Amino acid sequence: MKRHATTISLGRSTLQLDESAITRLEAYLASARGRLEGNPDREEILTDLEQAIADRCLQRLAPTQSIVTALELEAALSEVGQVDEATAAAATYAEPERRLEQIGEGAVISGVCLGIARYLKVDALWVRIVTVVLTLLSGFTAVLIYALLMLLLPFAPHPAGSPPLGKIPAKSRQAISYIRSFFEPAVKNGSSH
Amino acid sequence: MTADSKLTPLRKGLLEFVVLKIVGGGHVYVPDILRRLAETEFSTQEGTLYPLLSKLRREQLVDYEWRESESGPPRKYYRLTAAGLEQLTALDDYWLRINRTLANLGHNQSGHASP
Repeated sequence: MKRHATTISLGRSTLQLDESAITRLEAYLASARGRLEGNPDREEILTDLEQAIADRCLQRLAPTQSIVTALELEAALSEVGQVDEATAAAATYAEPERRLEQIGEGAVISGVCLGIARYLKVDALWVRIVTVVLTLLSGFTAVLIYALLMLLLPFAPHPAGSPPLGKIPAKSRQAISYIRSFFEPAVKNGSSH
Repeated sequence: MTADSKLTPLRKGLLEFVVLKIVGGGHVYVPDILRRLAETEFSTQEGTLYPLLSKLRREQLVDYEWRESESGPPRKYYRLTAAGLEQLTALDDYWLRINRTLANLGHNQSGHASP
């Protein structure tokens, strides 16, 4: 048996697969992609599934083993299961609603300006210029408004389901989410961790 | 076997309700949901759950946030939105009504006159 391994990134993990495992994985992903045809969240769902497969393969590796073979992959795929077509198709009718959010990717501070720009469908540069001008004119008030928006606006989910990359570290986001939970009755009964 | 094949679509239809219920219990990530469901009649897989959660998120019933994990990449934690909580309450009420209806129908069948 050939032991030629290729390193691939699967979801947000990196792992080594032998040739037969790669062939099998590609077939699964192609089929999943087909079943999610027309689903606006296709890339995100695929990334989530890849991550689930990667996690399950890694769990199955023996302590000294570094290469995933068709054996581990097959077991992982049968646990993850085929994409359910009925559910996948049902998601196609709902168009995303315009939401005012802070967008971490490409943000200068927290992505409030980016979020406003997307909401108003204008270039972020204009929103930033207005923000800077307002800050210069009003001083503290604009800073306060920005801080307030940072606290109140939800974080935009990431394109293709990748984690936030903004300048605000995850710890601060958690702190913001925690503070915010006091304002939201919906999460009152949710645990803070 | 025949009884079970009749129950399959019923379980499928209820899966959304069941998932809302689990997400309503606090911040959960997908392996948590799968583990909770594995012990029940609603046992399911990522292949079904991820498309379902993405649909629920588009309907603004659930939302997620990223959290760091001690091992491996960050994870998505799901929670109910205000609309999701409302929907869950409505489904809970409806489910109770259906149960009552079923119980009452049983009474009628066994010869009791309806009040």
